[in-house]
Order: sequence, then structure tokens, then C-alpha cells
Amino acid sequence: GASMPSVHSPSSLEELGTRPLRYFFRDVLHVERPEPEPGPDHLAPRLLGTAVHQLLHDLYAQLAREQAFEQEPAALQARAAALLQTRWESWVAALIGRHILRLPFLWREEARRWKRAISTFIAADLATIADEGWQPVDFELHVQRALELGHGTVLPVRGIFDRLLQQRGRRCVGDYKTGRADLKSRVGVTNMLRGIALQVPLYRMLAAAPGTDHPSDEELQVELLRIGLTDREAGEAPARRVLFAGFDATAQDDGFRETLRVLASLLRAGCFPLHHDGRICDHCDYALACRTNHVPTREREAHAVDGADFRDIKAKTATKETLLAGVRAAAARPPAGDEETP
Amino acid sequence: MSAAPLPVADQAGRDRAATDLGSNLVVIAGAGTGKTSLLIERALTAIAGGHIRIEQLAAITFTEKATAEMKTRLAGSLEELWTIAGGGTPSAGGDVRVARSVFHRLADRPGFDAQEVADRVQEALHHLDRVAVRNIHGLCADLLRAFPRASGVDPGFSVDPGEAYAALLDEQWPRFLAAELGEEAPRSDLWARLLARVDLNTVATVGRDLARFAIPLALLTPRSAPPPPGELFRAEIDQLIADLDALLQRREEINPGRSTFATALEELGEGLTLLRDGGTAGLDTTLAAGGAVARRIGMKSAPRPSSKVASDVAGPARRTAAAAHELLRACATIDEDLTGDLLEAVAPFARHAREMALARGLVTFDALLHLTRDLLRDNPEVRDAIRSRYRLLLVDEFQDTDPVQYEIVLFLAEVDGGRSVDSYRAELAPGRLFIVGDPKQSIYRFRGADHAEFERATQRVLTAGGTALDLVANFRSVPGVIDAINALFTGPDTVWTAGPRQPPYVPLIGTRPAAEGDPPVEIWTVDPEAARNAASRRKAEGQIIAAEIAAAVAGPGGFAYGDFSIVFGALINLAAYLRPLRDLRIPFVIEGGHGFLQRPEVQAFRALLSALARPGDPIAFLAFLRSPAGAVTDVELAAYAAEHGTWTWQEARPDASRFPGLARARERLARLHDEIRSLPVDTAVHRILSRSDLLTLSAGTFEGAQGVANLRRLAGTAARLARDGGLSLHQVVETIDTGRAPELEGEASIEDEGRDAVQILTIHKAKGLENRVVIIPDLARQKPARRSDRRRAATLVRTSGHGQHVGVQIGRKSDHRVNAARLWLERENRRHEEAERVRLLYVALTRAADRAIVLAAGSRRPAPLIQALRAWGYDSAAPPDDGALLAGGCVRHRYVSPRRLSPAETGEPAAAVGAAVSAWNAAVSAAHRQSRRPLRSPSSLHDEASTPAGHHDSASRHQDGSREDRVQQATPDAGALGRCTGICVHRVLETWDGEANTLPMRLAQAARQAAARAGIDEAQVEQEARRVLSAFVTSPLAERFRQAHRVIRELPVLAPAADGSTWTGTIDLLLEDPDGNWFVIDHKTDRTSDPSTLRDRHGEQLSLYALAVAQALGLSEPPRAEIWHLRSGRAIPVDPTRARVALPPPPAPG
Repeated sequence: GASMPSVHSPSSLEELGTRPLRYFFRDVLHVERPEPEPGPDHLAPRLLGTAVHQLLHDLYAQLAREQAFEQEPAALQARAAALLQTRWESWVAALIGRHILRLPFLWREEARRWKRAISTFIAADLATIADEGWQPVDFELHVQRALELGHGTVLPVRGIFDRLLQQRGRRCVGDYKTGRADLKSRVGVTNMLRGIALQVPLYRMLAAAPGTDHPSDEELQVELLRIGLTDREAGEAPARRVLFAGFDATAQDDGFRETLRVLASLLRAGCFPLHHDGRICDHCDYALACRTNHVPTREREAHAVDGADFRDIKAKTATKETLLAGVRAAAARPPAGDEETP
Repeated sequence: MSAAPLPVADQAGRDRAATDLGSNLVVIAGAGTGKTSLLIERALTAIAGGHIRIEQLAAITFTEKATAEMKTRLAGSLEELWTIAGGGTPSAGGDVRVARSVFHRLADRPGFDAQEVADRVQEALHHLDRVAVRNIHGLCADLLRAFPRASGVDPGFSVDPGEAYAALLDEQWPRFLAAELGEEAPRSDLWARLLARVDLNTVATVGRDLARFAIPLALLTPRSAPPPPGELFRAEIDQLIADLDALLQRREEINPGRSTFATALEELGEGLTLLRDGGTAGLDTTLAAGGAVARRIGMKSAPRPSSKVASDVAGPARRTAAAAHELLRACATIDEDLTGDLLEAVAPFARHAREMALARGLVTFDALLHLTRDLLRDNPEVRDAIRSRYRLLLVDEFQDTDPVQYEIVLFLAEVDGGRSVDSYRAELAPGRLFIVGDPKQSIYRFRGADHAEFERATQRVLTAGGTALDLVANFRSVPGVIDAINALFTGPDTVWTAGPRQPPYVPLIGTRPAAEGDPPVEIWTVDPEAARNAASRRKAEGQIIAAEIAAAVAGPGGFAYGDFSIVFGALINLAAYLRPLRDLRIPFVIEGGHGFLQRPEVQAFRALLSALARPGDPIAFLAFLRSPAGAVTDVELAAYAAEHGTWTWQEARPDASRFPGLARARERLARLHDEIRSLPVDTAVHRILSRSDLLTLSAGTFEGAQGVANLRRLAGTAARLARDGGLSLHQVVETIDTGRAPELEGEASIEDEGRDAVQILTIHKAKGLENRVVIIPDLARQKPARRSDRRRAATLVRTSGHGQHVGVQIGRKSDHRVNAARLWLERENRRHEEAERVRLLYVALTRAADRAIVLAAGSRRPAPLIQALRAWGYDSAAPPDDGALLAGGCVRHRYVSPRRLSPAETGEPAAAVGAAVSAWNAAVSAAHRQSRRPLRSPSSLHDEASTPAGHHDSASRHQDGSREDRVQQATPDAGALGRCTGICVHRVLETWDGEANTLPMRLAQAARQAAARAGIDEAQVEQEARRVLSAFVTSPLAERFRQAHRVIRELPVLAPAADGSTWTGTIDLLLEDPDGNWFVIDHKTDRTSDPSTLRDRHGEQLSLYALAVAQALGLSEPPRAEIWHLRSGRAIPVDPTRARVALPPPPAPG
């Protein structure tokens, strides 16, 4: 009788793959703490992210309607810069405006910096699009598909592509990221096989033509595009754009599908194992509701048959142990000495 | 009267410390040398000899516990001295020795009058409540209260552990922002620069840190000039440049072939020169310009010499290159402009917050020290008044106190009429100051202790006419332990090197009689096979320690559990050590650590408090429901969610007939909420605990006494926060959840202090304690636990020779930025910590009275503390033979392995225990045969039929073993394999998805678990189960499973029987075929496939299940029933209507 979601988003599956019990609380029980009313000095990143997404969607869609992508790059850039002025007011300035009343100096500064960041992003992005010859197909594209994972497992997944581009038979799914997330880790194959970074490969599966479960690298890629206040960050500049054009090896593809099957089996069995990573628990809203510190519970889970596959996918690697069978074979081998290093 | 105690090696020093009341003394008292007794002795001599009255004594201790101990001992000694002086018979208590010693000394003085002594002591006893025995914060609070106007505090101020000030900062920050970042924005240029570089959270963090009283106000205005890095690191830079030059002189040797190492060294030298001559500006310019030096600094790895370089040259070359590279990269993170802007921006906030705190009567611990220092420094007349009261100042643990305390002590010890504004220049009154400390035990760097400052303060006392005395006679440890400790820290290979951050090691001298037999100090090297990585090593160490303790307690040595202390550098990775103790039922108590809030019973209580304090918080409600106090199952919660139930308990109205657990829990919460509504919060907290049943629930679990003590401590702390801090229940919960209640560290003391339990504690907590046996595990830990004040964004830096500054660090480790002062502090901390790590080993070992054990592990790259054991002759790369004597015979080396432990030593039941359990089970079975059980298993029907005497326990007779509990009850016999196979197959099929190739994945683990429980070979079980499953998956049965429209597995059955008893069991499979027919199915793995035999064995059971389903669903006739014989892949139908048993008819609809 549980209210298990019938269709899954990549982010909820990532939650399941990373912290299954938290998924149970949030996506099955639907227990969520309401976001506190932000103070005058704080703007919820989620709201800001949504506003930036809407601005970009609106602006790019308008450029497409005007067929500006077919114009000379300089004209395209100029038109985008002009559109930014109006779209900025509609989306981001409207959001920030509510805060400006209370701390005018702060929010004018923030707005100025965000506007510059978005402008910089658009200029660089349009240059890339023009250089590589992409043409827009659609924006804010809602996609849903029952993914065939093999062994009779079907997983219904839905997603929203921020944009879909094409170029001579090739297609590119784009996703904007406004947070501080490390983009490189989101395209790391090990993270994908371990159920931690699912969005990018799932988007690629969603974008594949029906019946084409294994599109070649040439045909389909997913790109993550970062828009943020990078001027505040010292050291090496974070990646602005990362690409994923499919797995390098069939074994990785098989391993990823197997990982999804393991997650699907958790859902089928209603099994939501604990996660024992104290670094995550320290920041988890649900820590008080979790029995991760109850020794008998942990012992029971450590030996439960139900969660065995899930535990073992956490030991997958991008090269050797892409499949559970490999993980288990490696575990059976005598371990090498690995006393902690200084 | 008995004779005076026999003199010890340092008797002359002790005598002087006790009697020389005309000199200021600095006593360096080694571990276990009886310094508390000496402090008491000096105080008694001063009082009984008429030198001071008791109210003129001030004794400063380090902890509350030490304060209580000193007060008790002072009172006890005075009482004994009064008895002795009056001619009475003293008791046999520990304070007699001190009293007797004082009396003997006084009696030797000319003109001695016993009655006069007795009178003085009696007067002191009458005025005992006037004595100022305090920790430093207590003394400071007294002084500030005595001079509120001069110190600028409210006379009725309260000492705030931190939470009230934190709340004040929360309140003030938005106001500050409104003033700074509003329309006016009076400092817009500064803020524009700042916000372009850092976010507001970072600014707020620095602001809060800067608001601490530990940072002198004078450093907040005006913007002070930063110390130039070229000067701060001058000595290091010069040394590195010289070393690089020396290496480059040997260019041919370090740069063979086509190596570029020499070029890399030149680039590093160039970078260092730039830093020295041009500071960070010079370095920044170079980095911005690119070029070879910039590229070199930008590289993450330091250059390394080629493998062809001779090792005697390669080692120093590598180290020098690494040090130069590291320093340059560290200096590249210096950003004085940014950190200067930050400090300037938030300084007004920090100043205002302090003013507000004082205006509201809030004084934090930091403030107590700094305000007192300021009071004494700025008000000579106050100093005079205080000095006229306190004529004798005793200070304990001088090595571990805050440098500000040194200033306070020096001001208080100044000569009458002194007017110095610099405590370190104050003239000291002879005989006023008595300092006891041991720099060898200085282990509180992270709290601000500073060896350099200690040296400076004690040197000041000495140059102002004081005398230093060394106490070395140790009363605690047997000579064997003392010899081993001295050998470790004085031998040729010792890691104890005296220097600016390490005091000289002064050997201890044992006073206890030598014990015969084995050396009392042992190094145990853990079997490398059992210690292949850190986790397995810790597990092995835990098992070995637990076995050793169990054996010692059971042995003839007269050991109790409480005689053992296990001391760690930090209480992390504890689980591996606790599990074996639990397995062997060894009681233990953990002192210290940060795990208190995560203890299950504490978490349950926090959940309940949160639910009551925040009725609108759904997660708090969920936490309560899932806790033992709520006791609602996840299945019920999920069902409730499916009905779109609300998660705020005040709005939730769960249907009690469908969600009984949830309704009950919610009702309970509501009742409790009503009950406490009108109570004061501190009373309410105790009421909540008493009404929650958590005390009872905790008491019933393993370590129940600890759980109860923990709950009481949490309740006590919450009540204290509410009462003293004036906090609401909501604020109390917030304070606890965010870790702002400092007393909630470590486990609570169990009220029964005489409880016999192993103590598990950190070395820091062990300081001042002793025990018969001390075990020091985890020496092979490579990374020491970091305790320094590194999390703070802004902190006070006392540089050597370059004054005081505010050190700032912002950002994450990978891209952080600092100012030069902070960088200097970080590097200084690192060096101090290296020295302190050696002292930690000294402190740990000197806790042992009779025996010390250190746990080591063989390694080619030993951990720092294992390297320290080299002084005993222990080489971790090639550990000595088992049983070898080291360090001249005072240390024994042993190889230890958990593999050598018997099952009893690891907590596994021994044969004798197994036999007892079997006998017990047999007795229980016999008792069952005599009784009619309320719950009956359908699987016993076959046995009942064949044994008409009544209901039999059929556990030992079944061959198919379809239920786990049968194996648990059964004694090993020939049928064990069959039963395990049955269990294994059932486990696999419970979650099978119908795919043939997924079976092997589940099979291995299921076989392992089933075999482990029965104690038989898992390979046999797996092989047999594989055979059964292989037959099944290719059979029509598996195909029917795949084709099924719906399947329900492991369906529990609870059905009332017609005779009043209740049937209970589990249906393996309830299946609906594509035509809508329901089947009740039981999986069987019997070796026989004969249908009539199988029907005879299992038909009744299956029929009953079918009847139960019909009854539950109100069906007019039972569903079809089949035995699925997995080995043959055949379905054997059973006719439920022929069942012998009968169930009552289903209730009429409606």
C-alpha cells in the first residue's frame, strides 16, 4: 500500500542510489520540512536557479523563434545581449527585487554580479554553438520513457531537458547548473556505476530514439553547463562545460544498466537501506529520524540479503569491476595491505 | 604517633616546596609525583604555621573536578591536622600522610606550640567556606563581581557557556547588515570590494569569530598593518635558500643524465628570494606574469630527484624541495587585501556585539579571562585590593592554561603597590606565588596552551627571584613501568628532542617496590595476516584486548574490569573496539568524545523533545514515530503516506482501526503536549522523560545503565539551559541539536561510581587519572586526530617577535585564502602538534600503575607513534621475536593474533555452553509438550497426527527446514544440511525476480548466512541449494511464476482456531494466475518426491493456510493449494476441504 512513485526523475533516483532511506522519507512518505522563510540577506539557491533557468529558456527560445541562430555570430550575440536586458527584468530582477527593498545595496551588488555572470555565460555558450554548428531543436523539453534495463526490468523515468540541439544527425542534450556542484564528478563513470551520478547517462537514454538503446558517440551527447559566480572562487577555475557522449566500453554500459536494475529492485522490494557516511549524515535533515547509530540495526542491515546488491554496487569501478560479479570476485581475492596513508 | 614517611629521591625539593614560604617557586612535577598532595601540604603549612589565614589563600585548578578534589582534600587534611595537633588519633585516610608531614615539620620549629597550631587549624576549618579554590574562570568571575564598575560588567552578570551570546549574535547580525547594506550603505566601496570576492555567509562567519572576547579590541581598530611574510617566515626562508644553494653546489650528483631537478631547485630558490625580498606582492606579481617560477609553484607536486641519485643525497634533496615548494604554495594563498577588507567590514559588528553582551549581563568564558586581565592591568588600585586579600597563590597545571591566565597570575603576584602595565615586567612579591606544572604533560594546544608562553611565564618568575624545583619521585607506577618510560624518552633513538616546542625530558624515579615476574610493559604486534588494513587491524586489536581483559578478570591476579583503562588519541573508529567488549559481555564506560548526541537513546529523547517543541515540523514527528517511544513500523508509515496522511501531528488524525500504532503514538504526543503546556520548561523536560518510557526501554537493553545515565544527563542539560539560559523548549532543542551545549560530550557518568567497568577514554581525559592496567591501542594510526582551533575563520595569533594579530582563513581547503598571520599560526600549530604527539604518549604511559600495553603493527612505513617505539628497540619493519625482551629487559614484545583466540575468547559459544543451550532447549520443548501453547504452527500438524499425545515441537524432526527458527533450535544432526538448504532456497525465492541468471547472485549470500547459523560448510549448502534451484528454474513451476498476474510472498498468517488457540505461520507464495485463480503455495525441498508422502507431511499445513486466506478475505471457498516440490519441479495439489483442522467461519459482511 506504499505510495511509491510510478515514474522516477533522475534526481530522485540519484537520491535512491546515494541515500535510500532518505528517498523513503522524502519520496515515499513525502515527509519534507518546509523551507524556512529566508532572511533579508539570503535568497534560496533553488529560487535563484529556477529564475535563471527561466530566463535562459525564454531568451534562447526567443532567439530560436527569430531564427537568430542562423545569423552571423556577431548578430546573434548582439541580439542575445539586447534580449538579456528585458528577460533579466522579467525573471531574475523580479525575484531579487523583493529583497532589494530591505538591503538595497547588497542586492543591487548581487544582481549586478549575477547579470554579469549570465551575460558571460550566454556569450561563451553562443560562441560554442556557432563554432560547432549546432541548431536548437527545443527548449524545456519534457521527456518520459520506460527504460528497458534488461532481464525484464523496465523503469519509467522522466526528465526535463533544458535544451536539445542538433547538427547533421547529431544531437546534444543540454542542462544548466547554477549551483556549486562539481560538474566533472557528474560525468564520472565510477559515480554513475555506483548509483551516485545518474542524471547524465539517464538523459542520454531518455534522448535515444525508441528502439535505439545504444546510440553511438557520434549521435548523441549530453552537456552540463555551469552558470555561476565564479569570480568568488580562488584557485583553479571550475569547469564551465562538461560533455558525456556515452560509455567507453560495453561493460560500463552493462554495469550502468545493472545498477539501475538494482535500484529498481530496491523499489520493488520496498527496501531502503541505511547510508553510513557520517559526512553526509552531519548535513542531513532526516538524521534524527534515521537509526544509523543503532548498532543492532546496522548489524542487521550489513548482513541483510535484500540490500546486498545495493551495498556491492558501491564497490564498482569504471574499469575492472563494472558488474556485481566482478565486485564479488574482487572481494573474494585476498586484500592488499592498505593501511591509511599520511 | 607513627614516624614521618621515608624520604624519597627528591625529598629536599619537596621539603622546600612545602616549607619555603618566603620564595616564589616553580615546581616541575613529573607524572605521578604527588603534586596535589604537595599543593595541599604547602597550603597547610602556611595556614597552620600562621603565615596566612585560610581566606588569604587562592588556589587555581584546571578543571571543576580538580577543584572539587582539592577542596575535599584540603578539608580532610585540615581535619586530620587538627586531630593530630590536639593529640587525638587521626583516621587511616589518605590525607593523614600530608597532615602528619606538616605537623612533623612544624614541630621541628623553635617555639612550637601544638595548641596554637590546633587553634589556627580550627579557625581555618570554621572559615573553610571562604577559601578561594577555583578554576581560573571561577576566580575571574569572583574578581569581576567584586569590581563591577572597574571591569565594566553588570554586577549580576551570568556566566554564559556560549549559547546566550550566540543567540545575541544571531539577533544583531541582521541589524548590522541593515545598517551597512541598506540604502545609505556608508561604506559602499569596502562592501563592493568584499562582496565581489566572498559571499555573505563567509563575512558572517568571520564576524562571529571576531566578536569573541579572545581577540583583543585593540586589534579591531584601526586596520593594523599585517606582518610581512618575508619577515614572519624569515628564518625558514633563509634556511631553505641555504639548503637549496648547498644542493645546487652538488649539481652533478643531484642532476644525473637529463634530469631537470636542479632547474626545479633553482626556480624554488628564486621564488623564495622573491618572497623574502618582496613579500607576497613580489610573489603575486611573479605568479600573475607566468613563467617558470609561477609554473613551478602552480604544480601540485614538489619536484623529486631522479631514482639514479644516491640515496644519501636524494633524501635530503627531496625533503628540501618539498619544504620549499610547500612554503611557496602556502604563501601563494596569502591575500592580505581581502582578509584586511573582511576584518575592517565586520569589526564594528564585533565591537557592538561585545558591548551588547556586557550591557545584558552576559559574560562568556573568553570574556571572563580577558576582562579580568584588563581589570588588573588597567586598575592598579584594584590590584592592590585583591593582593591584600590573597597572600598565597597556588596554581596547578600551569603548562596547560591559556596565556592570558599567565598575565592574570603575574599581576596578582606583583609586589604590593606595584604599578606595572605589562605583567611580564611586574616585580613579584616573594613567597606569594607557587606554581605547579609539567611541560612534559602539556597536551592542550588546541585550547590555547602554548609551550613558548609557559616558558616565558616561568622564566619571568625565576628571573624575578623565584626558584625552580623538579619533582621526579613517582608514587604511582611500579619501577618496571618507570624504567620503560624513561628508556623510551631518553634512549639514543628517542623522538623526544628538547627545543623551542619541547621541554627537556627529566627522568622519573620509581618509589614503589619492584614486582617480580614479567616486565610490566608490553608491545603487542598484531598478526599482519589479521591486520591487512586499518579496519581489520582495529578489529583484531579490539578482539585481542577484549580477550585479554576477560582472561585477566577471570584469572588469579585479582583484576576487576574497573582496573583497565583503554586510552585513545581520539575517540574515533571506536566501533571496532566496542564490539568485542560487547561480545564478551565486558562492561565499559566511555568518557569524552562527540558521540553522545548520536547515542540511540539520546537520539530517541531528542526526537521526542523536537516533536513537542516544534509541532509543525514533520521530520521531528517522523523521528518520534520511528523512535522506540513512538514505535510505529515503516510499513504502517508507508500505508499512511499512501493515504496522503499529514505529517504535522497537531493536524494528523490517523484512523485508529487502520493505523493503530500511528494513532496511539500521536495521541500520546498530544497528551504529553497538554500536560507540559503550563509547566516551566526545566520541569517540563523532566516530565517528558519520565512519561516517555524511554528510561524503562533503555534500562532493558545491553549497557542499560549507561543509557539511563545518558538520558538523565540530557534531561539535566536541557533543564539547565532552560533555567539558566532562559531558553524556550524550542531554543533548548536548537541549542542541543547544533552542538552548542558543551557539557554534552562523552557518555554520562553512571551514578553508581563504584560500577566495575572498563574505562574507555581519550588521553586528554585520562590526564590526572591512573589505573592498574593501561592499554594504548591504535598506535598504527597514521593521521593524528587534529584538535587545534582550525575551524575558526578568525583567531588571535601571538607571533614570536612580530606582535599579536588577527589570523583569518576563508574558503575550503582546496581554494582557501589566508593572511600571513594565520598561515604562520597554522604552520606553528603543526610543529607544536608534532611535539605534543610525543607528549601524549608520555601522558598515556604514565597513567599505568602496574601494567601498560601498547598495540603496534608491523609496517615498512610506520606511523609516527610507532616510530617512537624505536627507542625501545622496536623496529616495525622487522618486529622482534615473540617474547623478546626489549629496552634492556623492561619491555616484552609479543605477537598477538585473534586467530589464536578460542571461541570463548571471541564471544562464540564454547562446546560446554552449546551443550547447556541444547539442554535448555530440550527442557523448554518438554515443557511445551506438557502445555497447550496459545500460538500453534501449522507445520506441527503432521507431528501431532503421528504423535497423538499432544502438540509436539516438531523442530528437530522436519527434513525440509522451511523456517529459520527450526535451525536455531535444532542441535546439529544429519538433517542440518537439508534444513539449511531449505532455508537458503526460501531466502532466494523470497526476492527472486523470475530471471534465471539472478539466482546465483542471491544464492551465495543466502548459503553463507544459513550455513553460518547452523555451523556447517557453506559450500555444501550452496551446492545443494544450487541443485534444487537449477531443477526449479527450468521447470513449469518457474514459468507459472513468471506468468503470474500477481504474487505475494512471505505472507504472515494469524488465524484463530476453533478450539480457542491461534495458528501462526507464513505462506511462501500466494499467486494469482492470468485467469484470476488464486493459489496458496508452499515451497518444499524434501528429498522424496512421492506425492502421497509429501501430502501426508505438508497437506494439513497447506490446507490451513488456504482456509486462513479464505477466512481473511471472506471467500466462500478456499483458494487452491499446492505443494511446489522444487527438486522435481512438480506441483502437488492439496485439497483444503479435507483438512482435519477447522477455522471459525468468516465474519458476515458488514
